Amino acid sequence: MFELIQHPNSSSKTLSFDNESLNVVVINRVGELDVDSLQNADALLIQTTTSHDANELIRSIRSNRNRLKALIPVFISSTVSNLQSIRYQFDGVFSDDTKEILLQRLKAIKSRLAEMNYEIHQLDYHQSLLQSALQFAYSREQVFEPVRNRFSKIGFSYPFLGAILKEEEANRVLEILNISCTEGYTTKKAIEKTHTCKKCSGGYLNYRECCPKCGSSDLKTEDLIHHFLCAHIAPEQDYKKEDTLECPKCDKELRHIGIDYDKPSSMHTCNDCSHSFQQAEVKALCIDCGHDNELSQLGSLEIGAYELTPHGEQIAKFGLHIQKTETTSKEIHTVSVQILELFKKQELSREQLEKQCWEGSVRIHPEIMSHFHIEQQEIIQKEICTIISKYLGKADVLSSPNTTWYRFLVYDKSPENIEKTGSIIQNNISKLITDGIGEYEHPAEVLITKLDNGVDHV
Amino acid sequence: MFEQLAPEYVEYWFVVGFNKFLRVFWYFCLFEFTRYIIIDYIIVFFKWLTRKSDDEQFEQARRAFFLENPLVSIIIPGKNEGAHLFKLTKSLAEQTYQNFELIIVDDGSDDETPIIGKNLERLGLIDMFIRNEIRGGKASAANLALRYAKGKYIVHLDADCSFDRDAIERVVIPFYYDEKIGAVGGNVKVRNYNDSLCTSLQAIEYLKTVSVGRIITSYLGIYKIVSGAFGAFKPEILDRIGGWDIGPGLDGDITVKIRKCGYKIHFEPKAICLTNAPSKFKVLTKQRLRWDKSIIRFRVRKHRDVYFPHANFNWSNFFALFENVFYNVILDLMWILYMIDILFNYTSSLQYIIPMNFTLYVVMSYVQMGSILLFTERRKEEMKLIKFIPLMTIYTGIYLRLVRTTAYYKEFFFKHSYEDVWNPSKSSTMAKRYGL
Ligand SMILES: [Zn+2]
Ligand SMILES: [Zn+2]
Ligand SMILES: [Zn+2]
Repeated sequence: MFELIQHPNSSSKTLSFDNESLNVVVINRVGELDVDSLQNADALLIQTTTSHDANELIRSIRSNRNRLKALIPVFISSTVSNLQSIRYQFDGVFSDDTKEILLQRLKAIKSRLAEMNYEIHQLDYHQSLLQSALQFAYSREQVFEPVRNRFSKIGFSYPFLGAILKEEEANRVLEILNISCTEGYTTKKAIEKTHTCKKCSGGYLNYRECCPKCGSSDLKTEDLIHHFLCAHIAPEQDYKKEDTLECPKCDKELRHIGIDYDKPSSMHTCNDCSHSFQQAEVKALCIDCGHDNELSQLGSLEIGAYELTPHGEQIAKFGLHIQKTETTSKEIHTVSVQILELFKKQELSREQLEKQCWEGSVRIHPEIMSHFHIEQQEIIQKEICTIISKYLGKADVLSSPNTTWYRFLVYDKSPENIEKTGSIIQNNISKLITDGIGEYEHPAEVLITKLDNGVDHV
Repeated sequence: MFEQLAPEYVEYWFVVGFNKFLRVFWYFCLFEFTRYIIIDYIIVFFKWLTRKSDDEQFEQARRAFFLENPLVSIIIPGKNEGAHLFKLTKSLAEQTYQNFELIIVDDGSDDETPIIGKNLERLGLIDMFIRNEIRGGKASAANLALRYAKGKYIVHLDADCSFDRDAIERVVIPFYYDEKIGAVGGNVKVRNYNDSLCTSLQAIEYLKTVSVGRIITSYLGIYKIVSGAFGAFKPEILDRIGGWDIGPGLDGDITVKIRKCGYKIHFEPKAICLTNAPSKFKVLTKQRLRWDKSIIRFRVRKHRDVYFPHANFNWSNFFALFENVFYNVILDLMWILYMIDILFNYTSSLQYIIPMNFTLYVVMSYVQMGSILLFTERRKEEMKLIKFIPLMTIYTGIYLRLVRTTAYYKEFFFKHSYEDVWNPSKSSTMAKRYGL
């Protein structure tokens, strides 16, 4: 059974399982969450008073940049108020009755998390979210099912991504999931369809009949009455005389529907502009931004359930760029450092340098590479080689002693040209790195020197 | 020389003398010749005399009209007319007068009409499209349009008509001639006059009875039918008389009601609308039976009060209806008397009488055509009809007369019009019970 153990460093408590050393950290208040201490936790149990606080906690847990921490199993206590609306964001509802089930679940998630390379960092934020989402689905053996949510901008939320992105960003959740589907990581099954505001993509729309002339929704609707005898036809109001119906044209009383009169249709009249019409224009007022949409303007979203494909499981386990590694490796001619040194020596040994020869080196800040998993580092290394080789001639030589160091020899280039080439290479490599990890000061340093007899700049 | 050229039967009448001619052809001389030749040409002459001041009057009224630029409500009631609606909106978009609203009432159509109408309304080509799920008959559909019309003048059209570019302007302008004009009838011509013999003959008939006939009756102040296909009304008068009553023949009926209110009815020959006439005699027969029955039902029965002296008695109303009833109903009976007269008293001379009678009518038709061509603005097209004129004797003299007689008989003795499916039975039942 679980048992409560006081957490040594804070006011929060830790649940431990007696036979196995599973460490469940209990969090009672928003302030208690100490992300760093999660390193040793196997799971979290949220036991706040309100669902609002619980929601805030799950958001900060799932959006942690450290994927190990972001994917941790989180349970919610059954004592949290109004938990129905947020329970889909948790791995289970903790109560005395569910302890055993949750324990099994916790173990299952833990073992699946252990299968994964969840240290892999992605090159951009959305891809990183996608990777995490796939890993979440894999570790929970879960399908991303839409959950009706009154507060989501599109009226539906999804587990995990819905916890990370704000409710106003529900459209982006769908975007990410749709990418996962088009890339073949998931399959999509349509569940619902929702219409959205043309202006702000909000799904909260108030549909109502409006005057086609002035757009007002202040309408009066009346039945038409046809008096058979005299062929008079007018709104019911025209016939009303105290409790009876009397024909304004022939003054006869209308007694019997079907014999004296009938109601062949009805008319709307606008109270604002007094236009009469039968076909009211249905318009959709956006509750979020107030834009009054014509129905034809509305966007439409397909709300689906997304299930991992075997390919998606591979991605979850090994990272998004596995396949690309294979495709980008070809056609880049690099040589070993020894060969490069050989070429260099040869060149220096010439008594007179007829042509201008340059030696270049690119150094990547070592801290940058530590952000990436080893597989990822290799990919980046190859990408950097690709960038450099683009600006080299056929006879030029490129070598990469390690992932942070690139050396090359360039023959037959004017000083102005080589300077230009150097700055282009620096720009492109910096761009590659900042695209992946965000702004970084001087991510790459390029140095180019003229090969001179006797002087070695590298 | 003449004796050699003239056929024997003509020669015969020269020999027997004018008195006998009058005795034998009294029907022709008394009714047809006087009414359709003498009166027509006298009025043509008078109109020719006043043509200058007429033009001035028109220009003045036209200026007043365009200065005021009143909203005109064009109302089109009908059933299963969807197919015509788009063309109609196009035709109206070409009008010289554009300050109008277009109101279409779909009287329980069971085809695509509601879809077409709603689409045209959404596109803004129709201002108001009102759909009645349950059919109520043409009168109720027109009344519904009237209920929602906002214009200073109401123009009632049929959906399958098309219009000269100045038709709307011309049909409204006469209201500026005279305060007392309560309704203006437009000129209806046959568009498909080339389709078949049936439509060609109707085209000539329309020219005679509508284009020329109504100029004459309008001039005499006894014009009594504003066609449903194209007529203009003052809404305040329509409101006063409660709009249209149950048909068939509701256009004639409403004209009489307006006359009874003390208003004049004006015919405007230059406000021209083209309509498709039935191209088969079978369809035409059905249509005419319906029209002819309505003469008995409305002019003889419903509005019989105009024939008797009472507080609102009015001679021109009396003559308007009397002329109509006389030339249709009474002369129809008279024709039978005439036939009997000839068959019994002149049995031996029939070989001279029949061809001569035929000749007289053909010659009269040509002379009448002359007056038509004096008035018309489509002289070139209408000249093409001349070759059909000899057949008109058979068409009006025999075919139409036969249809008419049948209709009168059925309506007079059996009130047949109340069974007409043209009206929903719920309305006919009521109309019959109350003798409307
Ligand atoms: Zn009534
Ligand atoms: Zn309005
Ligand atoms: Zn909006």
